Amino acid sequence: MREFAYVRASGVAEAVGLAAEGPVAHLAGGTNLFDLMREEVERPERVVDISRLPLSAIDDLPDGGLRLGALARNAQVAADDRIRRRYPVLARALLNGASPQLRNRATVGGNLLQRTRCRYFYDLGAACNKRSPGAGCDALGGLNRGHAILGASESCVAVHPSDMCVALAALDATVNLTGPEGDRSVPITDFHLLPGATPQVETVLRDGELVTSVDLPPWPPVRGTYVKVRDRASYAFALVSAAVLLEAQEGTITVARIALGGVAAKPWRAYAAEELLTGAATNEQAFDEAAQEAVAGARPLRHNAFKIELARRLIRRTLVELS
Amino acid sequence: MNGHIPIHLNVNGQAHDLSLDPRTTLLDCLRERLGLTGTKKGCDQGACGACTVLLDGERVNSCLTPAVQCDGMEVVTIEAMADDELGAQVQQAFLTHDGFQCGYCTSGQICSIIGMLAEHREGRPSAVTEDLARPAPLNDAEIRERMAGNLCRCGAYNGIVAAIREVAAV
Amino acid sequence: MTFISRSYGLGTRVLGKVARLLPDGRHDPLSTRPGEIGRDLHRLDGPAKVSGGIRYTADHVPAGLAYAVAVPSTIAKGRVTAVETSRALAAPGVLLVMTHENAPPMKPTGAYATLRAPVGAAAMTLPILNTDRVFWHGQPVAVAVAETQEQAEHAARLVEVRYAPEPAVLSMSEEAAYTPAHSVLEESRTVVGDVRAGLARAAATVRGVYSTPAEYHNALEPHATVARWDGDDLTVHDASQYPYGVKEMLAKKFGLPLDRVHVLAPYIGGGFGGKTCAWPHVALTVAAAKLAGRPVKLALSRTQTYLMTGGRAPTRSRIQLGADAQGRLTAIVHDALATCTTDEFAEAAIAASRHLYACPNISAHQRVVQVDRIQNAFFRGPGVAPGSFAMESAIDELAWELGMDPLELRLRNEPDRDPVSGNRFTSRHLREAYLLGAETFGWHDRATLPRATRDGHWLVGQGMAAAINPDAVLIAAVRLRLSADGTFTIHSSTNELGAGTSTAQTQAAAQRLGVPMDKIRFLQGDSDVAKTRIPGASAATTTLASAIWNARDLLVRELLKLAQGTPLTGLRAGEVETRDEGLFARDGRGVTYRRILELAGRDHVEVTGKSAVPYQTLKRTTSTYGAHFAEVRVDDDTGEVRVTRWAGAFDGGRVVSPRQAASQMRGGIIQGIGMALMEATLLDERSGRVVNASLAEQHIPTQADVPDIDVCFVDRPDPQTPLGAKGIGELGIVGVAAAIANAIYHATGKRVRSLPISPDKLLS
Repeated sequence: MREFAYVRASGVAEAVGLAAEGPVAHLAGGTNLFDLMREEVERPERVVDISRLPLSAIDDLPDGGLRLGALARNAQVAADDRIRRRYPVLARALLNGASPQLRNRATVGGNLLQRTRCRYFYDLGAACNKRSPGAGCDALGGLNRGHAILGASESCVAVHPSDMCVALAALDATVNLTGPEGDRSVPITDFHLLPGATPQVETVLRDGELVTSVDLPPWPPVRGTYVKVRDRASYAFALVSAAVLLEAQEGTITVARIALGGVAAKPWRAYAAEELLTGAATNEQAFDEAAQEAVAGARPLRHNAFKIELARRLIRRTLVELS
Repeated sequence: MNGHIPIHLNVNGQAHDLSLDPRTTLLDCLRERLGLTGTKKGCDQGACGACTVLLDGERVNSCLTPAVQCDGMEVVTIEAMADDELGAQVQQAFLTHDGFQCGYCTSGQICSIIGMLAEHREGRPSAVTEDLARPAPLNDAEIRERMAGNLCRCGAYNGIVAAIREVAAV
Repeated sequence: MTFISRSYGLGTRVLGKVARLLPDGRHDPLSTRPGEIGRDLHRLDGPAKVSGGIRYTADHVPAGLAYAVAVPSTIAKGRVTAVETSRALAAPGVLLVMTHENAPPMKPTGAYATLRAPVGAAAMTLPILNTDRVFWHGQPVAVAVAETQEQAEHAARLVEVRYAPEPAVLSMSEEAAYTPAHSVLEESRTVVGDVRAGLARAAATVRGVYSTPAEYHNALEPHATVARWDGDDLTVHDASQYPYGVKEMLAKKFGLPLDRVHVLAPYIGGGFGGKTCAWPHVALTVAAAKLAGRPVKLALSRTQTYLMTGGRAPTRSRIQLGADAQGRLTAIVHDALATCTTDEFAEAAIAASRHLYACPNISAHQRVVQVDRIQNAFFRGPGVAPGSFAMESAIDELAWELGMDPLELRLRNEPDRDPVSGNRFTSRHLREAYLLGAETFGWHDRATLPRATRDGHWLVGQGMAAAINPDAVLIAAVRLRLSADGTFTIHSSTNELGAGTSTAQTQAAAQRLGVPMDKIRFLQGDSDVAKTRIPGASAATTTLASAIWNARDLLVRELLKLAQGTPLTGLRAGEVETRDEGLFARDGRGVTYRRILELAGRDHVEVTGKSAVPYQTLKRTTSTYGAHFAEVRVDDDTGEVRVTRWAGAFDGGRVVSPRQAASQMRGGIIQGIGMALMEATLLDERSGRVVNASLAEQHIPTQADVPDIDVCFVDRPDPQTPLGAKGIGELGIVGVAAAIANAIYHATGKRVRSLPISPDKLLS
């Protein structure tokens, strides 16, 4: 790890102000950033410790939604009674991520901003456009069983590793930011960016901006769940995961949300599939078609074609089970 | 030293005032600075759980926790486990049920169990909890999922589950 | 037997012939006697282990310690053309950077792993850091030494190495395959009878190609070394399964007399064969300590364990089996391929095919391909673990082909003599293990057709497989010391890997010496004790028991000399027993140990006992056996597999410490579950880079992947071995992957012939 200057911020304004003085890394739970710093993939000269900022509360919003403080721990969010009752898909997604110890440290904001687990990204000896723009991508022609089937580019085929974000995408959450230029809000589905020619730019976060909270909109009671397929029973990243919400009235689907994890550089909302479902009858044919549609644009690499079939089956089954 | 940060750390009831390189993890601080080598480094990347300690009562991977972030906090490690009633029970149950072989993951397992039992008492759910609306019973499936963050390569998993069953039943 | 002969540096055939001419050695009277042996006890080292009180290698922080971090090469083959160290040296706290230009000379040694140069534990002959050559991707090409771990880690990143790369061979291609002169634990080529004729007259045949990937031990303790020079005395703490071998290696490499090198490794945090050989970092730590003039600790990072230490080679097996209509095997053909390096550690995947089944026609052929990777090495059940996946899957396929229960097929082919050598077995109770395991598991309740049991989206199936592993008594010496207070101390240079060696040996020694267990202290891991070559091979229990047996005999002689003027006067060693804390004749007269020393005015008596290979084990085939029964659930949609039930029944001779033995078997089975379902070290064959060099990406089973595992033992003494016991450390893993693959077939009707059986392989 490189040497760095460590500053503990005492307030949000100070954290933002410090960032205005030059590049900083904001350190919260550290479970991803500190690991990347040790590998020298991240090499900040200044680290601003934001872990003591008053951003860890989970508050009710006037519209009936919930606001998750950026520093709320993953374990804390998953255990919150309101999340468990009103947003079980989010609780399930969080509980399927990482390990209990990591969930005790990892925060909402850190989870949003965690970086890909592509091993070529981690290995300084390998070519990686995300780490060193223009260097090339060793994953493209290398071992890419875990890589993206949707939204990838010639420059990067990495996937976003988060479980939480997949549920947030299905729930139409909003990310609240503050920065030198003031506050703003971004829909979660617009927060992460596809790689295109600039895979090093992963989110819309601007220099010095800080995630302060995530808003969950009010949801009527909807059936929903989070399912995850991985290489072992626990403590592993997703091969494919899905957050699915489904509500029907008298045999007709009124609400459908499908978000996929493990398939793209961002949590992948299957809008076209949702459209197919909305207004359709709750039958297996509709579910089949939606599952097909969800991965319609998928482009497999050498080792990950199975993800297409796996995503299809996972979606189909989850829809059947929810209906 | 240049760039070092002063911190106050309470470890196993003992106060320490330290000046630390901000790169130092809680794990290396315990092991190399305070001589508390009972906590082990298995991967240094949050992937095995061998370094698990209790930080303000919660189980965490000390290898991914910068020590300077722990300023003013309380750390409990394996070295203090025998002083705690529940800790001593878990230790005894490990002996009874052969919950270890080489012993390298054991400190982390035991600290993790203390944290896990507290989480369960609070009613926190896990990935295998069927009904999120109510507290889950601590059955075998729950124990196994809740302890999945502590790898054991010798394969003492059965003994660890048996030890937890015994302690949890008391 | 081959293993033993290699360990002794003799040719197989010579030793085999000589052994036939020799009389049988003594049979161990303890092998059938009740007592401490076989008593169910808790681990003696338990209280220290559950309180964090055990000191492993990296826990040592001697005064003045400096920290070293190795720099891995980023090419697979070629030359280092320049090492730029100025940035590293300028960083705070950095003491030095060791490169091939300034490293002290380290004399090349033989490679232990090849078993052709059994002196010293060196993993490889290659002169690491005494050459500009690069032999594999990840090879240490520099070592940074600094005041703190953090500074050393950063300094290692600042070392800039330039290379002249050369084309590297990285894939296991048939074209480059050849038959090695020696394979580990086995001959490379065996032909019995005529397999073509056997296949021609078979009523049923099967053929298939089975592959297993490179795998790593993934012991939770990463390799580490702490070295300290005091003048010409060298003291090294090393995470080694073979401290005496490390001592020999370091003495040779640094030109020191053996008695100036002290290697300490009483406890290690798991080995599984990965710490049998001394990997390059061991000597490099010693060299760095020499340059720094200070004690130096070098602990490999988890990622570096995949780069700088070796694991199991990938294998590919072609198998053909034939059987008559009654299920009697008429032909076994096993052609196996594995990778190795220039040191030619040939992982022999063919063992199970040579020794498991009665068959008049057997052809087993091991070939290898040399690749530019780190030396592959021992891993629990070398050869036989991956090979048994192939053989035991094929036997299952044959059973389906014959329409026969796979258990019945195995029972019908249980041999009376070794199918290849024709030798008798020292003992073999595999039939009993099959029946015991089947009973425990409830095997006969399983559905007769595949894909017949469904529970929601889970398909349920059961499978079984046999296990076999060669057994051997190796070389060990122990120092046995009787003190004036009647207590014993036994010093050995073996160590406690977690198998329960200290507990088992204390039990056995208590019975051997006729004292309660609390009168014995068993101390391990000091290479100064005496020559001991038990690097693994499941051999600790019987080898140490043999050495302690010898020490007991020597002690009796010494004590009889001292006991002049006591009721023991005039008795010869063969006329007294060690019991009731002393020496007693059959007629009851005797004197306690304490009294003998008291009368002789002695503070203590010390003898050094050495193990002896029982000749009868060389004339016969000696192996351990077992049967695995597995139940799996396979998600019909996603291909996820969960192991839900397990019964393993084993014949490992007499069981010395039942609780620890059962735990060790479970450990092997759990590693086998990992091997079956998730473990693989992935190599990018374009560059030689290990891609998943992390415990986050290289999955091993978690608590959530493992069911309750029933373990039972036939528990019958082997009349030819010390204590009647056999080594069981590796047996547990053998056959596990096949049992799971067979259960998956039963659940789904899908046969997967390549490991690991990850969800994607079950989707089609």
